[in-house]
Amino acid sequence: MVNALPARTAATPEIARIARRPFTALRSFLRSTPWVSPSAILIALVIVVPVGIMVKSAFTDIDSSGVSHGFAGFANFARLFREAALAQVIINTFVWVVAVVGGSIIVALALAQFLNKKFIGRRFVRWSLIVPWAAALVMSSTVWRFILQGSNGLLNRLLMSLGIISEPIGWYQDPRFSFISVIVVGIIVTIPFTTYVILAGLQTVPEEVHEAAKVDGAGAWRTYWNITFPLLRPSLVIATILVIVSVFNSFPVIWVITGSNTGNSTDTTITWAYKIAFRQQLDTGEAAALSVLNIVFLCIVIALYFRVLENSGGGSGRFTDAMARLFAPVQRMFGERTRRTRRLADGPSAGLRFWYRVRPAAMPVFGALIALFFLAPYLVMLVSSFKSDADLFASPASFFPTIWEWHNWVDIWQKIALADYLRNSLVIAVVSTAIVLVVSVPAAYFSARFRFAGRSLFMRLVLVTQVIAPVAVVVGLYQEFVWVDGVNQYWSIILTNAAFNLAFSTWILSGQFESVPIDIEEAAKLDGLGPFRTMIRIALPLVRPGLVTALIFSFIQVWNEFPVSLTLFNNPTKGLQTLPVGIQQFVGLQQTEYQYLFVASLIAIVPVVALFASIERHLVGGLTAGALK
Amino acid sequence: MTRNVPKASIVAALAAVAAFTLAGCAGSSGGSGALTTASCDALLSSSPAPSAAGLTSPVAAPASAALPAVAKAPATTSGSVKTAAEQKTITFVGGAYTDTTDNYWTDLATKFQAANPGYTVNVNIIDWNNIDQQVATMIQTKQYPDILNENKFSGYASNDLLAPAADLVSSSVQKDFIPSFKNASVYNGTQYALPFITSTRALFYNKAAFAKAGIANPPTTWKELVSDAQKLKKAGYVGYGLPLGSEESQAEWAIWMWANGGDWESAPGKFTVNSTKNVDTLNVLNCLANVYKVTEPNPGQTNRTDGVFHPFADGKIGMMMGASFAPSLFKGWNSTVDYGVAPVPVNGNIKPTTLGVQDYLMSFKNPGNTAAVSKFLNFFYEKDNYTRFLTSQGFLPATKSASDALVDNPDFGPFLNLLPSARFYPSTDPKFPTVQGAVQNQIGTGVASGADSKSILDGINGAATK
Repeated sequence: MVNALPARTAATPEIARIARRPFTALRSFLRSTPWVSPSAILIALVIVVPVGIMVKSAFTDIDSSGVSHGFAGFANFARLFREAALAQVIINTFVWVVAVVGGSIIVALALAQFLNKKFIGRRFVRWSLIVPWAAALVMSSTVWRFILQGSNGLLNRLLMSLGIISEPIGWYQDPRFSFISVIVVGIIVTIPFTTYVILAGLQTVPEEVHEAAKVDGAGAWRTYWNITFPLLRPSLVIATILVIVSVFNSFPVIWVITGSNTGNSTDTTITWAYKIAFRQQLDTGEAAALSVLNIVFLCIVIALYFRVLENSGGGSGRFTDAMARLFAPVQRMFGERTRRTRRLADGPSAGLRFWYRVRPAAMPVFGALIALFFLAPYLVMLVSSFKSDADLFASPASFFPTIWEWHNWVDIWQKIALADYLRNSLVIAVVSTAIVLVVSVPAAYFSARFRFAGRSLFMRLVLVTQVIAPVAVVVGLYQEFVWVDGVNQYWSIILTNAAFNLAFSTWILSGQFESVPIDIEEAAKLDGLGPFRTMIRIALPLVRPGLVTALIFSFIQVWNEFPVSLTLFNNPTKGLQTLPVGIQQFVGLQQTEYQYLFVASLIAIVPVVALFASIERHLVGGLTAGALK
Repeated sequence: MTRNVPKASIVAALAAVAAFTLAGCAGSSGGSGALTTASCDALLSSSPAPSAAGLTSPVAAPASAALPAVAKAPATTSGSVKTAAEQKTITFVGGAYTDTTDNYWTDLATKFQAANPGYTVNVNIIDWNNIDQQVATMIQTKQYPDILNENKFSGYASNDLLAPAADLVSSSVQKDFIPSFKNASVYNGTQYALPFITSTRALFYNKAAFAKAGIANPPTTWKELVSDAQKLKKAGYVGYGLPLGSEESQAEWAIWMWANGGDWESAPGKFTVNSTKNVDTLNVLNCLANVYKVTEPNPGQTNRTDGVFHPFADGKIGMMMGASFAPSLFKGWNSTVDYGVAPVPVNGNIKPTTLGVQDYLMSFKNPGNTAAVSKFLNFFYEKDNYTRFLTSQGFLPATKSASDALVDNPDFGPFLNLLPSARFYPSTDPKFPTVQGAVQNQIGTGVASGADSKSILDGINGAATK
């Protein structure tokens, strides 16, 4: 299943040899160990044990205060299947995944294509996309909740000022709108990440290919569908899988925005599992049963996804054919239009000529609008961080503070140990990211280039870590680190974060290594370079965009990680807390102190944007190099 | 696999999504079998409430009956604790009531350590959104905190994890607790938790709104409440702020349930959330929202603090069930609302009561921790330390001495007088947290248009039987 995906390597002689002589299987396995074992061991140590503990909980009778009362058989599962809300939650989950994954990928494909074009201000637009991605999902969701409030909500204020609605709408409260609201927010917060994965894939498409197509007189759409899209396939496959898994496991968006709604009209299986464990049923056993089913279900979905790829693929791009056929009507429509316009005149048509003339101005304007859209929630954050408490809850909402409370930004350093949190988070994020890259690059390279016994097991293990929602295994993780005395230790939280982020890095890099033409390396081999030096000298520079994406992704994930740090690294007396955990103090029993949450969230975005600023050049590197020629 | 299959299935899936979405919308906006004005009016009793004097007579009178059991507990349990090496470093895990809670405890621990060289208290304050999950993780992995501050205790007590209260604080502190609160800290005849902070509820009404609507006195019955709310609505206010969102809907529900003569259980362990009286009560709440239309929009998804307290403080709501800690919140919000506080209106001849809510301190039986735990707890309950916590966090005391100290404080005084008449959640019942969870997460669906009160309450009551 899994090993069928990177089809390009099927031609390597390695695999033929393995098939011929079983003895070579052992040798190939041994040869793979230095490349693959560090990540396999890390994953096995950190993730397998807690998953085992979770599975055990699913078969244990655990009472409402968390005390175990022995083996329960399938009682937890039976209770789960008797829940009245089960059907609704399953339907919700299905709708949520299909809508958010579909919506975000379609928009991201277009957006990545747009951002791959050259226009003034492109860098600014790319930067504006990093902000929603860099902001912790918890924080983005908080500001969206703030915007979507009823009588004191900013969106209602805006729509009422524009005369679109006359009465405030309870966007996340009214059952008619609440689910649609979280889906829209889900799509918006998923787009930046998806766009970057696809953008990284677009960078590997050589400029010459497009030039050739242009010379051949192919229209923009035909170039896209027949040339770009097939070359984009590995990135798209990976983006789709990663987005499906992360959307399925997405907890913060729904939890923050509609988690306190009564009933289950917006619950997916993930938020429902949390409610079962800690809010309503107080039944950790039943929640573990649901989590187990979640993982099994996700594994089946991914297996089916690969099966479809396998049956349609075989390396000859039949998957792309299928996609192209699916979009054929659209394609035809656009294809005919371009053909007609071309027939109208010998040179470019009047319309096209007009477009060429306005293009230098239109592209930046369009880009600025996109940037504004994605930055808007964070501008709201910025402006609201200067509001007083009265202003924050004023109804109708005011766009700007009536009194600018500048000292909110000063007071926060006194209110919480912000400097400590920043230092902790920085140390943890930097070291974890370094481990992720050092460990995943050889593993990704080796599994992209060579077939070895245990390869599919390894790739599956890697993928399974991505399938597991950390929130489902915190209890097991805590137990594990109690055994090895790792609670509230830097090393334990660093290793945990590294293990959970290996999957993304391995997968995206392996996809990138595959899209590097093998002929380049054959030449190196002839020059007498060993595989390791080939990887470092030849392959690694070519996959720089992927490397940068993996680096940024890992850093952001670790920087914003919440549920595991909350449980595993939380000793305020000794100043051991990460930033996302530390700022939760502003979510009090009685009220949320939005102004301080916003200040802290904005400060938390700064290091990520700084990191991005320093390496973003490499992300566009390939392109600018091409433009200079 | 044929090539058409994925395409067909995608189309089918999209169609299914559309169908489900439409079905969902239709379902939520439909109102079959909805309540009418006539059927709503029939639920409101015309008989007057009993005289206001009833408010001051203690309702939780049998408190003293259970007290002797507390005294005899230590002998049986302290003997069973093995003589372990004395633990001088203890952990304190508690909830963040405000953003100053953490500072308070860290500061108290520092002072305690200075006064008791060799002892260390590690403070871990967790926000209320995450504390249940954090504590459950600790319990499941047997990493029991030495001292825990939570809003429930009986589940831990029923698993024999807690040290009896008599081992924890000196007898002078024990005697200082207000009996009704102490009584609500008993499981199976033994007191396992220490009353920590308390709060009471009452009807808050906006005086300016009442004047504008031409209402002279606050309502004492539901019938008056409805007609006053209608007048307030005409005057441009939300008549009654009804927070049935999951934040604290069990409190709002308890107040209304008791005011109609209903109750949580008929006997310990026998839950009666779905009794006929309670179905009537939920129907009345539905009437407020959908027939009289005197509440804010979506009361079932409105949380107490952001959704009702804040608009009330801004002068937008005519009436609501306020809490003793609301005045300090209003102050923090620089509110200028002129409000009055009155007993909870009842449906007919029911004695008005108030809801008393308390949180607890408890100690898990970690070997050798008793001495350090009791030193720290006695230190906490010293009058100055204790009142400093109450005034900084805005809660009512559970001790007589602190009540005496705070009675002249205008933020606390009026509510302190309500304490003796307070009724409590059946929190001594280990099943109650699950029922409470069901109420918090489901009762709000009962005020949606056309909701079936009986089946919702049946579902909640069923939560007691796992």
